Amino acid sequence: MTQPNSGDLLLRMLQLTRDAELDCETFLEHIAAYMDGTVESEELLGLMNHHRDLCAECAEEFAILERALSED
Amino acid sequence: MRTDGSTWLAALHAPEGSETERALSDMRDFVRATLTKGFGTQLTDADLEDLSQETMLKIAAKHETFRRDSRFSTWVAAVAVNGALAELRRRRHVHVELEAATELGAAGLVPPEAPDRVQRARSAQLLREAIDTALTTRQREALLAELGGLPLAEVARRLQSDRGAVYKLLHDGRKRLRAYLQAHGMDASDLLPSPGGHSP
Repeated sequence: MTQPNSGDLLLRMLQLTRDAELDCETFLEHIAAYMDGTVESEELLGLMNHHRDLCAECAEEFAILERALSED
Repeated sequence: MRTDGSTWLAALHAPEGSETERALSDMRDFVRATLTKGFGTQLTDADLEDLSQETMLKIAAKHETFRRDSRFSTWVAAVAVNGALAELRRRRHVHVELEAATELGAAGLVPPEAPDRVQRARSAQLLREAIDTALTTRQREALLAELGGLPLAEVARRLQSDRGAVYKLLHDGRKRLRAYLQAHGMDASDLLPSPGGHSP
């Protein structure tokens, strides 16, 4: 593992921190609907977007899914 | 255009027969193609075979939890990607001990070659104080390991917990850190380096 810039990473995470957040498991429960653009609740969609911005691991998972399902 | 997978879902509820077998075989081909396209050369042929098989078993076991708010094929792809990524992350970090990851995370709090050293040194100092003062031992351990590059599932494995519980632990920790900074008249935006890289 290489040494990351922990300070900047932590500060960016603190900038994005909210009192109410989705955890990874809930994000992954809804990732298929998020991928298909069929999340019906605006509130849930906002929480999904926020979690994707905050959680690098779930963002990576979504990016791989997006690539895997791309039409090209 | 990609299939919606509805015939696969029907086959999972149907009795055995040639139609059912054909549909499940199509689904297996789709799973393999999904993993191939998603992960490229990160997965060997043997990996693809094993992970496709594992995905089929997971789908058989949990297809009743499909929420029907997406295409079934998207849900199947999500199950496949989730399993493969978890396995790759486990392999990448299998020899990394929690203590090594926390040390790496703590060491990264002081970027040694930053152009705006004064501001960064001040930020790092306040963050270290916040981490030492505001967090529980378990929160500190999990946060530094995460900052050291250990994936949450791997942090959870080492803490004998699960990813959801570790996320909640870290979320509570971030809120405590944010409150600590606020109590010192700061927020994270004040401490991040300016875009031009100069101290204010």
